[in-house]
Amino acid sequence: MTAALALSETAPPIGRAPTATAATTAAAAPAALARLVGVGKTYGAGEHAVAALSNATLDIRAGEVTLIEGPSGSGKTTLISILGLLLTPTTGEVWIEGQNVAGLGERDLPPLRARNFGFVFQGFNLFPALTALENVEMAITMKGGRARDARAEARRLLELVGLGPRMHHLPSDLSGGQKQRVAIARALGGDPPILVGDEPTAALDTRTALSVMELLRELASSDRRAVVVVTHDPRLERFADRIVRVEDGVIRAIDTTTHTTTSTSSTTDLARSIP
Amino acid sequence: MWNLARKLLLHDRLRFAVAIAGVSVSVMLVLVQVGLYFGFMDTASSLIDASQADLWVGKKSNESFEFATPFDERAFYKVTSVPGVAHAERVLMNFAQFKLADGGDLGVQIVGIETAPNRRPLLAPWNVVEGDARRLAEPGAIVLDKSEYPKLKIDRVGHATEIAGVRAEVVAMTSGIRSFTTSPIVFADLRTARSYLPQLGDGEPVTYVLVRVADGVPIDEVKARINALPHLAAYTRSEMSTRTRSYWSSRTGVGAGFFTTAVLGIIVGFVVVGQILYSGTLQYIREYGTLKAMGARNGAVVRVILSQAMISAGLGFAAGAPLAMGMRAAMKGANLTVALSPALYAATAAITVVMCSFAALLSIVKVLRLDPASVFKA
Repeated sequence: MTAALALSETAPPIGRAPTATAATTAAAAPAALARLVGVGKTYGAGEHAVAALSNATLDIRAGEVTLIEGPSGSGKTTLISILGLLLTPTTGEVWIEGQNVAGLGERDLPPLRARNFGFVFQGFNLFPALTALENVEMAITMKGGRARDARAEARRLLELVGLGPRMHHLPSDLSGGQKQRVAIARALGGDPPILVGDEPTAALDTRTALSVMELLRELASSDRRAVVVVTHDPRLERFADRIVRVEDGVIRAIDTTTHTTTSTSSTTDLARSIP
Repeated sequence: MWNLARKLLLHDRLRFAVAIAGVSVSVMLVLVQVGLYFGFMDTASSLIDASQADLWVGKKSNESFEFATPFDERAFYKVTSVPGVAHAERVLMNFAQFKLADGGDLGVQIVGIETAPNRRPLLAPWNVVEGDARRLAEPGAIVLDKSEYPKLKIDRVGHATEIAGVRAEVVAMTSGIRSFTTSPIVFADLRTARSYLPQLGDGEPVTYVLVRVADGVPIDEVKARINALPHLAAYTRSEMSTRTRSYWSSRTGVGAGFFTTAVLGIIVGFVVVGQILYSGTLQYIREYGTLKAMGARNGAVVRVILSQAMISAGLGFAAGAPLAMGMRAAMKGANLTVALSPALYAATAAITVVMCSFAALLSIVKVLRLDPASVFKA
């Protein structure tokens, strides 16, 4: 399955097809939607300084599913937090929309996040008081969408993930898989090109977890989105194009894989198969 | 946004009910306490406010409306002769002992006014609900308020008794005329009043001169001329009213008392709403963090919290205002006036909005400081 091993990546400017290098064997690698270059994060200072991440370089490409694996405390969360513009790196560059945004403050980042990222979490983080439709609608509205369009868009997204019949249900009336589908629909609000998942299948049983992952795979393949998933679960590797292995705050390897899920089903059909 | 805020609030109905109860109690306390204060103040200045006089003239040394020092009647004629004075009337006010039916005595506040057959006096009993106030010109005739009947042990118009040993007969009954001093007000003709107040001597005393200014003459001009007279001070009706209210409000501490309770009400509402909103914000902190992570601006999240505060304010006021009306009705039976005016309702509504907005501050600060990266921390 492993096609290549690299300690770091070098890639062409964002938006253009990368040049083949020793690190990236894919001859026609897709364009990078986001790029981390030599990124590091240190907490504290002096004797108490702790390096959570060091010299990480990584491209996030359209149409690819990237798994980030590593033991607890290895720096996975720091890596995706920096990638998702939720954490400012101590060193290095973060390229989004053709600009290095590493130095931007929290005042400037929300619009960038809104345009580029959707997040899916292990715990779903859905408002229990709101129906599936309202949860998605609110996220779209808060990202700056117009209220009238937000509802129609929320309906469309819930249909897309196969939750049309249950869009008026509260999270408490949905199964774990269905909640995660709502969270995925919410993450898709505003049509961000990059989906970031933090252990999105950890709270799900095997069958549901694989189905959710298959949905994310399909969203990457059919919609040309980049999907980045932090996971401990090796069973998800079959859905990945690349596996980034992080250890002790360092990207030890980036394995390029050939994912084995070549389903021809539509996204909606896939979603409906999730319990 | 409103719909979202409402749903988040209603999700925990018990907590929501507590929030609304807190705001409504706060609203009720503010309305009733401030209403009571205004009611007392209205009572304190009711004789002045009900008069038709442009100017009230009394002794310069007077501090209290009720406990004013009488002066010699010659001052009345001096006032009458001031240019610009179209008409002036004498008022005599002081305290006398009212003989009760059971043989006891009760202190009353005599208000002697000038009655005339074909002219309405500048000060006269109002809200007459029974009897004929025009009979006040008859010797020994008095007018009382029906709310004082139990205290004076009177049950009808026509009741005869004695005041300071002089005959008095109730010829009419009014409604809603009470004194701030709690001594019942007894209207009488000036001559009758003087007979009830022998302690003031035989010099035909006067406590106030009421002035009607001639048409076209500025009131302030006439006021200045009267103020130039020795030992006399003239006030416009509204000045006199404000002066009297201020006296009772500051000297008795009644203002501080009522407003302290009202402020306590606001604090209660503030604490309850603040606590409810804050616990609600903490409950949804990961969800708010998720929204922020996905690009929601602080302003959007703050609007949700402020909307919850406004809903609490609106519903709390909607529940508290009728409670205050109920309290007003209940207090009316105890002869307490709760003056609830549209202006007071509007001011209380504004205070409620401000109170709930400030109560939301802690939640807002929590959300503003919420690090969106925290959603990745289990």
